[in-house]
Amino acid sequence: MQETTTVQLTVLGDFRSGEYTDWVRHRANILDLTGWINTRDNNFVEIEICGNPILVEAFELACSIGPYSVTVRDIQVRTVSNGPYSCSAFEVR
Amino acid sequence: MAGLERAKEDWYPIAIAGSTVDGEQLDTSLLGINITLHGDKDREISVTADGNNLPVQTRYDHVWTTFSENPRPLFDIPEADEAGRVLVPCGVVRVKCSPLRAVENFLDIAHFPFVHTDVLGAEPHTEVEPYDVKIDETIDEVIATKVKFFQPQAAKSAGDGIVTDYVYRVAAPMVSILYKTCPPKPGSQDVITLFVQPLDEETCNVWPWMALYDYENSMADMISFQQMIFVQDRSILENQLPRKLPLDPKMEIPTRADMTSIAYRRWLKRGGAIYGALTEAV
Amino acid sequence: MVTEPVGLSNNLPIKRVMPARVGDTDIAVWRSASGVVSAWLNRCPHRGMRLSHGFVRGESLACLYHGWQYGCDNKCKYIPAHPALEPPTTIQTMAYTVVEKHGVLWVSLDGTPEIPALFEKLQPVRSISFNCSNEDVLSALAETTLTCDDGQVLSASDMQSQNILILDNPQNKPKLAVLFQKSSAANVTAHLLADNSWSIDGLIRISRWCELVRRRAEIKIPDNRRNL
Ligand code: FES
Ligand SMILES: [Fe+2]
Repeated sequence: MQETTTVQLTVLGDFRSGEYTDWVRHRANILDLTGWINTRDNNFVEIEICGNPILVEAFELACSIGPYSVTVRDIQVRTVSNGPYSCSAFEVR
Repeated sequence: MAGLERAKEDWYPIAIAGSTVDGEQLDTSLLGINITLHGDKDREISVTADGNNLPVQTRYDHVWTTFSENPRPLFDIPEADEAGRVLVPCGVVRVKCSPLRAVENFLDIAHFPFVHTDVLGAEPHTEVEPYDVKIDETIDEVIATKVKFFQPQAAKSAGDGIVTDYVYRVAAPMVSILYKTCPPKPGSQDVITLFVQPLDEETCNVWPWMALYDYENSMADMISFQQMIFVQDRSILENQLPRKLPLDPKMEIPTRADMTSIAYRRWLKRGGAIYGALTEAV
Repeated sequence: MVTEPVGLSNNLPIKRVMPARVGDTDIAVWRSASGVVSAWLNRCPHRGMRLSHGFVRGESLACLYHGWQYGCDNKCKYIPAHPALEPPTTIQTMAYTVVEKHGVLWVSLDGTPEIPALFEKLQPVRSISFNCSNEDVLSALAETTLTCDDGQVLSASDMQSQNILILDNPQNKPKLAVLFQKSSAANVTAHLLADNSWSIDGLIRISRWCELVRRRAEIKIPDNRRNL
């Protein structure tokens, strides 16, 4: 059993194209990570992501660029826990 | 064409300074446009496109030109003027890939054990330790620091394997500068650069240049060492798909070891430097 | 969709990888140390390097660029930059169906291989590639004949379905089959299969004959069409 970490990302940028959510879900699926994404508004997205720390880092890296139609200005990362996680999939909230 | 106007604002290397003789004309291409370099009687070089003169300057042992009347200033490498360094222009390598791919590969260390086996890397020393990357807003450059990698023969002047420290700068979309541990002079750093001439979006000339503290090896040996390294890189670059650099990495799987690559792409995207790039994921 | 012959089995020994093309798709075909054959999109999921330049390590193919390893189940097994990581099974190559039959490797892009049945008694002889179009090869074939060990003269009959040309004797028994693999408009590879009536000398004659066909076919290209 590999270690698990859960982090929350606060992503600031321009998400008006509406393509970020699907792009992020696709990335979570490729990296076998669980959690959720919540688009608060066109400039503010919250993500919680859980899984192997190396894959969580890879996920953060991908989210820092996203699709071409999206501009990510800043991404803040906060560790929530280092234990097991209840989410079994990646949800769009 | 996407990104062409932005690309025209930069300076590009087109020859090694002093390599043309009087009266010689050299046809080459830049951003898909045919240009001609004229070796002049009084050893002043001029460059023309369609009969019109382009701005020219000689710096870092290369001849640079631009299409802009009001170009972005050529980047600064202060170490170039330090006394005691040997300045080594390494010639040119033609590569069938996007000029941006050539820069991205130069920023990559994870390939050393596989592409430059037993020279810049060797199994089992494949792990990439965390390092720092930032986009420096004030100087508008990408900077990677605290990069460390085990190298069996880091430079022509290195004997046994050492852990090499690296700092990378991306000073222009098609220019990357690397500072690395200098085996014969602890505390100092060798400077190795990649100057890229975009022939078009999918072909480039790469002009490596070095500023080293190495008094033991001949110039010819240092050049052939660097050329050997770059020819190994070319076998990768000409076989990477797609040929242009995707700014959307949806079809790729970057990990922490690719942090510099992603920062470089973000920086290109932000600056609109998309000549040689793909904006959609394919 | 077409099932394409991409090579002869004995041209892909264990621990080897080769590039191939099916239609417009660039693929990598490789054989593991234990003999399992896989056919993948020729593009590493990490950063796009052609997997046909990789190297086989046991039951995995390693990409030449950063050494990511993928197993016979198409899943990523190892990422050298992160040696402690057990890669998730969701990181996979894009795999196609590959079948080995009659000494030929067949690839189907849509997962429903259709392999012609008429070669049960044929053995692979060799592959040969032509720097010219399919039509040039066919017309060169029509101009040449091949003599069997028993003196019968074979000539090319009509093209069968799926780019297969049969050379019959008068009893309509296939003596030689030519499987065409079209790589591009200007490049064709042919795989030759023969029945068991040929002696060693006969097989050598087949080999010379197809080289003659190549010389003739490539001459048909006017200079301005060469190296397209
Ligand atoms: S591109 Fe294949 S391992 Fe990086
Ligand atoms: Fe390299």
